[in-house]
This record gives sequence, structure tokens and C-alpha cells, in this order.
Amino acid sequence: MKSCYGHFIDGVDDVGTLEDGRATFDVENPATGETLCRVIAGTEEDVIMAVGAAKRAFESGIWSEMHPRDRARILNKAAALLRERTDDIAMIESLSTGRSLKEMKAQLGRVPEWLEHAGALAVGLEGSVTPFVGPFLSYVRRKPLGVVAQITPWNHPLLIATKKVAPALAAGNCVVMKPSEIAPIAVMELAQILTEAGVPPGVINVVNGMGPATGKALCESSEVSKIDLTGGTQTGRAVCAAAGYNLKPVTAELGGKAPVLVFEDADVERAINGIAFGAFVASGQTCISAARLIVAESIMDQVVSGLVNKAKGIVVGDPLDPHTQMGSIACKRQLDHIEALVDSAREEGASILCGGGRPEGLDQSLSAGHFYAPTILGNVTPNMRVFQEEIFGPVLTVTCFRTEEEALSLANDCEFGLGAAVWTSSVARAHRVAHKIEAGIVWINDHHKNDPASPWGGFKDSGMGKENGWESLHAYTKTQSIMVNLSDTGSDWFGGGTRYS
Amino acid sequence: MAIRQVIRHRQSWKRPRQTNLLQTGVHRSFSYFSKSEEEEYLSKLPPLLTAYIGNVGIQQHHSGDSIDNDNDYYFVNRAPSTGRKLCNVQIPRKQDLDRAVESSQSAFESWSTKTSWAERGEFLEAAASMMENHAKELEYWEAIDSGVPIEQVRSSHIPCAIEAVRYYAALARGSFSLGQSIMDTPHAGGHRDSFSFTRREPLGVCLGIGSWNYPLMTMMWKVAPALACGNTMLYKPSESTPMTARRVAELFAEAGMPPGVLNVVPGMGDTAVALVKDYPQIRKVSVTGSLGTGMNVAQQSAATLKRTTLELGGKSPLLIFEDATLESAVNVAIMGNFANNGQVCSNCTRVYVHKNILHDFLERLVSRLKQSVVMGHNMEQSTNMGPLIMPPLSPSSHFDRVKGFIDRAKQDPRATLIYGGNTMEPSPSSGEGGYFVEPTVFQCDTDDMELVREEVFGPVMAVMSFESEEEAVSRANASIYGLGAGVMTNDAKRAHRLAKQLIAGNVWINNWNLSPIEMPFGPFKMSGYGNECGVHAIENYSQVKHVNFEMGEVAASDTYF
Repeated sequence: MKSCYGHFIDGVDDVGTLEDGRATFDVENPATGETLCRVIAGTEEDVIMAVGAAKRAFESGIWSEMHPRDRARILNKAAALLRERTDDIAMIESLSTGRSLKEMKAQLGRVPEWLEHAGALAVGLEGSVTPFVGPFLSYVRRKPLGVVAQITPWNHPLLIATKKVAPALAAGNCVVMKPSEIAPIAVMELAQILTEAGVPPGVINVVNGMGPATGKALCESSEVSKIDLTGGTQTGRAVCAAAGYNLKPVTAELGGKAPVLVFEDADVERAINGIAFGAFVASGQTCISAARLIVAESIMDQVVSGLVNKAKGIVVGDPLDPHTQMGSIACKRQLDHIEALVDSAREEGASILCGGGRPEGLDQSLSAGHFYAPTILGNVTPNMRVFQEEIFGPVLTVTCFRTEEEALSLANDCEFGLGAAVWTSSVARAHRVAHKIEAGIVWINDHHKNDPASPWGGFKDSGMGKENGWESLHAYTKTQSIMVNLSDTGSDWFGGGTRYS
Repeated sequence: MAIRQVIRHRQSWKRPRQTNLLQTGVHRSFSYFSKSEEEEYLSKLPPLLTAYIGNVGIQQHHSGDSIDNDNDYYFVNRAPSTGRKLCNVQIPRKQDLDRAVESSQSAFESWSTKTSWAERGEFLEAAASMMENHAKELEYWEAIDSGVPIEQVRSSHIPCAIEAVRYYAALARGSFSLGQSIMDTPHAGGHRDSFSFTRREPLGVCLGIGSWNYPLMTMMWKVAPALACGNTMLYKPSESTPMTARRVAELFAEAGMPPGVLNVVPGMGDTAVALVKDYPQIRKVSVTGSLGTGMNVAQQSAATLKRTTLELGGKSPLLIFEDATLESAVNVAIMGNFANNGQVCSNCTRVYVHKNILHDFLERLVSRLKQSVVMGHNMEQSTNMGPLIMPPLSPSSHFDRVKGFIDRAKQDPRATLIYGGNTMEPSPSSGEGGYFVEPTVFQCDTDDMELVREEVFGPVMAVMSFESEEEAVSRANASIYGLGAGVMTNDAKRAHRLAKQLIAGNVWINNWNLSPIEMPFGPFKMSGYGNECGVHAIENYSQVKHVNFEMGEVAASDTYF
């Protein structure tokens, strides 16, 4: 890792680092509190420069008019390079997010598939021919949008950046990305890899900085044709407002509060393992994290005691230690947020079944790190803040139900609608319940599983639009309708013609 | 008539430039291939080209067998430009076919169930890269085996074959939707407690029967979609061009393709017939070949209801209107008749020219041909017209057929030879050399002659004149075939009108034979049925299963009892 990073603009890295007096921000190792590196804080001029480079690249046609087969080959090559460097980037991710190295390696192992899949979609991208009435040929072409802005978060820095950049590039767009200031380095590596694989200068740009300054300038740019954001719901509202002013489309993947419905006919052991994974992997800092356990009263004690045992057994510690199962929280601000919400639950009458603070027995070297123990809150009712608000930490709430209807009503009693899980051995119930949950992503007898082919995005306040699959690629294109009049004679409206449209 | 005479006198027959090349034969180094490259390729050439089953050449399967010299067991494969022997090719025995089908069947069981679409896409992508790494070697074998000019093999045969593999790799990796799902399905009783989805499943062992004009491309048009869908393929290349099929099967194996997923069995037509007739395990047959072959396969397949895709012959019309850009029309007619030594199923062998521009068209056509035709050994880079194919058992048979059409047309008073018509055969003394036919143009006064009705499958263009669009369309459509059709015009309305009216699976406006892998390539009428390429091939190599799922209970009141 270098001591200072700049922006990646027009194929050049470390833009801004040679200029004197540039403002920078620190990237911290949240497990130790040490500073990893400094990064140039993007100004409005930096954003203008990056957007300008992207616009010139787009208009030159070097990428936007390249045959999709050739774009796919470059994306495949980038996937191969990324695969080779997985271990290095996993280390960067682990150092800057506090997530365990083992976890990062496992997650990054599949990330190259997003590039390959998007390339495959580009190859298969087709327009259509419509059943236009009358002597007309009407066909539809799909064109790239232009310069697109992508705002990515700190919880899965590389995965989410790749998930967004892959369809955007596959469709022929040029990208300006603003990664989270908490973990921007892996994203810079991705831009490098794409460039090495043959993505031309200006097609992929990264501007670093804070959301309220750099992110805002990017989202307000009138040259940007689309904004794709993963972040909190409040950020989502701000970005959508800016996009609304510029009349630009938005894909927004925002907060969540995933319900986990466990019916009495569930395989309890499998359910406990799956829910613990869903709630505590990445220290619970994922938008589809298992947040609200909604469990049949008859098996509640069995499920909860199993989960508590499981949670207590999770090894929390140094992310780089191969025995560590859970690392730190990504930053102090996030830790404060978790603590505040758990405190509110205590005040509102919830019981702390395990965790509820800093884990015990951490190594001295981690004393400045932002750790929080796997936590399970009992007696949680729908009116409590912890049932309604996103915690984004290793905290699972427990609520019980008696009937399927009650379970569904608890699951849907929330502003969010991103992920959900159903645990049952009844095939009929599994599908019936899944169909009725108001969430964009539903797992049956599992959690967290994701694939580049499977649409990913929320209902309600969890956002709009989808990542992954055809929906993501289509959302990076605009359709053009072409209608050809094939009649032998024209029509003369003012001479008595009758067809208007 | 005066014009025709003038043209006739102006043409001069130049002997194909093959004489001195013949003396050096196959083993001469040509400019495109370095000596070491050629030596390397030839060193890999087995004395006997055998079936490739389960990722091994079949001799290795039964080491006790010796390579006998019994003529029943092999035929000689020759280079069409020289007539020189390339290798002996095994004619598989019954037990070889049994073993091949068994291998394909057992591979099907794991390939179809243990791999996902995305994984099969990765296998195909790896295979495409492997082919690309060996592109030059494939160019060598494809060219020397088929007689197609090396420049055309390099720029078209091999890249199109690789592109097909990459395309189906991409479809399998996610760009093809695997099924549909619908919302709650109403019961008879009115409840809506069930839902439905579909599964796209493979057919089983598929048999590919290849052609000799684009050996590797027609192979990959079949192999790639078949494998993507989870089928296994048993491929029988044409007996005239068995080289690249065998080599590519080896490359697929090297790229990691599991044994038995792609098996290659060389052989004559009766091998193909035996496979279709005697093996009910084969569930699908895809043929690129002649009308006769196609009809035979269709009949034999019916006994076990094998699905079939038939890409057969053609006699495709090109309509050149007064408003066309004449230079472009001449170029299109030349490319659409004489590329690939004139041996293309979709060639525009019937050229209808508006009577007002006929004279200009013919004059420019002749002058372009005079300037540009370079006949000779197909491995020479400057050659654009190589020899006709040389089938193994009867090397002159295809030539005799093409020459027969030319000779009879020369005798027919309704036809006038405008250009070419000359041929050359191997030297009677040494037996060396190929069968060459000069690009040949006849002007025909009627459509009612065999040259205008029947497929020649050689470099012979028939030119007719027409007066009105209606007449041209009706004459264009008056054929048993319906593979290609084309229009040269600058009138957008006419172009669209005729795109609709012409009865053919492929219509080209102001061009010819462009066939991107994304788009269907398929025949109408007696040119066959079933599409290759595009998502259409996926449909033809898979079957769709509807799964209905009940989420509630079925009550007595939901039934009729």
C-alpha cells in the first residue's frame, strides 16, 4: 500500500498527489486505529476533470462504439487479472474494513464472475422488433447512456464497485466512481486492473473524497447521465433529489432490515447455522444482514438458545489472524450508531441475550479498534427502534409469532424491503410465504447468497432499480425506437388523411 | 447480342497458376506459414486419422488392434490443390460406433446434471481460447484439407468458428434466460394457490453431420449450442474434410472438456446413416449437407423421432435494380458466387439484373473478374480461387458434376457463356494436381433450364434479366429452395418491401452472405428446417419443462368429484 493515493482519471493514477497543499483524508485500520494511508480529497474541479475525461472518452467512441464482443473480451481479461490478485486485494480490504481476511478471500473469490457475466450479457444484448400497426417496420436499438456516476459503500468495497462497473462498462458507458472515503483503495486497484486489461483511458475514473463535497459535486453534474448508488437511505434521498433536478435516472440500493422467518417445521440446526451466518458475517454490516428473527413461538427457545451459543462461540479478534471469525466494525461513527441503538433497545425493554458491547478478551494491540460483540436482543416488539431502524452491525432482534399471517405481518411491518429469509421444510409454505413478503430478495432455507445473474435490489425504502442480471445491463442503456414507413404512398393530413399516430 | 459477342472475344483463358506449385506439393513452405510451423503441424499428423472418443484417439482404447491396411477400414484423405495424400482416415466399425455412442451417452449423464449453465459457459470459453491459441494450425489444416484459399480461411473460417464458441459461452454464462415463471395460476375451482416455472433441459446425445465447405464453422455452429445446453455431441465431419474436427476435439480436451462431451467419428455417408438409423440413444441430428442427404436423414430420424435441424442446398436469387450502385452490385455478385471456390449453400447463383443495366453490369463484371481472379494452389496467399473439393472415394465426382453443368449449358442455345467456363484436371501422367474450375458466368434467356433451377455448388453464376419488380420477385421465389435472397437497390421502400416478399431464410439488402453469429441462419422451403446460430439454436438443442407448484391443499371442491 502506498502512503498517499490520488484520483484515477483518464488512465492516470494518483492524480493530485504531486500538487502542494492539497487537502487529504486518512484511511484508518479500524481494528487498530492506525492510519493506513492518506488520500487526496476531491474538489469540484477534480470532479469536473474526471467527468470531462469520461465524456471525451465516451464521445470518441473508443469504448461506446467498440463491438460488444471486444468489450466482453476486455472484461474477461480483467476478471482473470483480478483473480490473480485476489489475495493482495483481500488484504487491502481486510486492513481498511476490519473484516477478517478469511471472509474477504472467500468473498473476493467470486467477484471476477461479475465482470465475466456482464461481458456475456453485452454479447447477448439485443434490441427488438415491435408489432407496430400498419405498413411500418419498427425496431428498437439499445444504446449506452454516456457518463455514469457510481457511488459505492465501505462494507463490500470491491464487490459492490465491480457489480456496478461491470454492467456499465459492458453496455458501453464511461464511469466516474466515488468510492467510500473509509475504504477506497481496493476500488483504485480495480480501476488499475481494468486499465491493464485494455479499458481505454477515460472510460473508468475514480474520484476520492467525502460524500457531502465530492459525491455531491458528482451527483449534481449535468454531464452525468445516470447515478448508481449503494448507501444509506438518507444518502439515497439526497442523491435522488439531485438526480431529479437534472432529470437523470437512479439505481439505488439502500438500507435494509431483513426479516428471518423460522417456522416450526424448519430444520432447526440448519436454520441456526444459516441465521448466525446471515446476522454476523461482515460484523452484520451488510444491507441484507439477518436483522429481525421472527420465530414460531413453539420453537423459539430452542432456536434462540442455539443462536446464543453460536454467537458466544464466534471468535472476534485481529482480522489478519487466520483463526479470527469476526473482525471489527468499519469505523468509529458506525460503532457509535450500533451502541446508541442497542442502548435504545435496553431502555425500551428488550433483553440482552448475548453481547451488547465490546467483546471481552481482545488482544492489547486492538485496544484502539472499533469492536462490537455478536449481540442478540430478546423480547423485541415492532414499535421498538431496533425493530424499525437499520443497525448495520452484529445485532439480531428476536420476536415470536403464532400464525403464518402474524409472521408475515411482522415481516412486512417495516419501511425497508430488501432481503428476507424463510426457514421451513414445507415446500408449499416456503413459496407461499416468499411470495407475500414485501422484499426484493428472498432466500428459502439460506441467507446472503448472491449471483451476477440474479437481480438484486429492494422494495419500499430500500431503494429502486436492480443490480445484477439483465435488469442491471438494461438500466445502463437507453432504447431508441425507429419507425420506417413502408407504405407505397405517403399520407396527406391536410388533404384529408386520417391516420394521426 | 452484339455486346455478348464482344465480351466473348475479349476474354482470354489464363491457365491457373498451379503448375510449378504442384511440383513441390504439400510439403512446400508457403509464405503465410513458416517452414517450422508447417513441420510442426505435419509432425502431429497421425498415419491413420481415427475416431476421437472420450478424449483419446481410439487406437489407445484397444491397444491389441494393429493398424491394418484393409481398405474396408480406411480411406485416403487428399489435399484438393495437389491430390497429394494427407493421411489415411479410419472408417469406423460397428464396435467403434457403439463405443462412441456409449461414451457420449455416459458423458451426457454427468455433463447434463453436474454442470451448471455458467460452468458449461466457462468450459466453452476455455475451449475458444484454446482454439485461438492454435488458430494458425487450424488455418493450416482447414485450408489444406478443403482447398479454400488460405486468405479466406484465415479471415473467415477460423474466426467465425471461434466466435461461435465464444457466443454460446456468453449465452450460457448468463445472457440467455433459462426459463419463464408466472404469477399464481388459477385452479379450476378459482383458487390461485399454485405457481409455475419452466426448466430448460438438454435433449441427450446429439449427432452433428458436417459439411466440407466450411468444415470448422459448421461444426462449431452445432457443437457450441449443443454443449451449452448440456447435451453431448457426437460429430461426424464430412469425409472430404476430417482434419480440423479431429484436431479441435483434441483442443477441447486440452482445454478441460470432460471426456465424451465431444466425440468425433470420421467416416463416409454410411457411417452417418448408421448412426441415425441404429442408435435410438441419439436424440437429435443436425446436418449441413445436400438436399438428398437431408431427406435421407429426415426419413431415418423419423423411426426414433429424433429431432432434426437440416441446413441443405440453395439456389439463391440476387435482384439488381436500376437504382442500385452498379459497382457495389458487381462486387456483391462476385463475392456471393465465387468466394470459397463457389462452394457455399447460400450463394447467389441466380442473378436477376434489370434489363436497362444488364449490359453495363456484364461489362463491369467481366472486367472485374479479368482483373482480380487469381487461380492456383490455395495455400498461396495471393490465390482467391482454389480447386474444387476432392471427395476421397471418387476424387473427380464433384468436379464432374460441376463441369457437367457447364458443358451442358455451353451446348444449350438459351445460355451464353460470358466469362470463364474453362477447367483443369490433374496431370494424366503423374496424377498430381487438383480439379480447377474458372469462375464462370452464363447469361440465360430463361429460368427454365437446369443451370438456373438446380444447385451446382461450384463457381457458376447464372445471369438473367427482368423488366419489373413483380416479375423479378415472382421469378426469384419460383424455386424449391429458400435459403438466401438479396436485393441491390437504393430505394428504401423497395428494399423493405422485398425483404418481406422474398421467400428465404436470409435476406441481404445491398450485400451478401453476412451472417453474424447472433442472428439465425436458417432455411425456408426445401433448403431445410431449423435455425442455427443466435438464441434460435438454443431452442433447437433443448426442451422446455413446465413445473407447476401447488402451495395450498387440493380440496374436494377443487375437483369435479
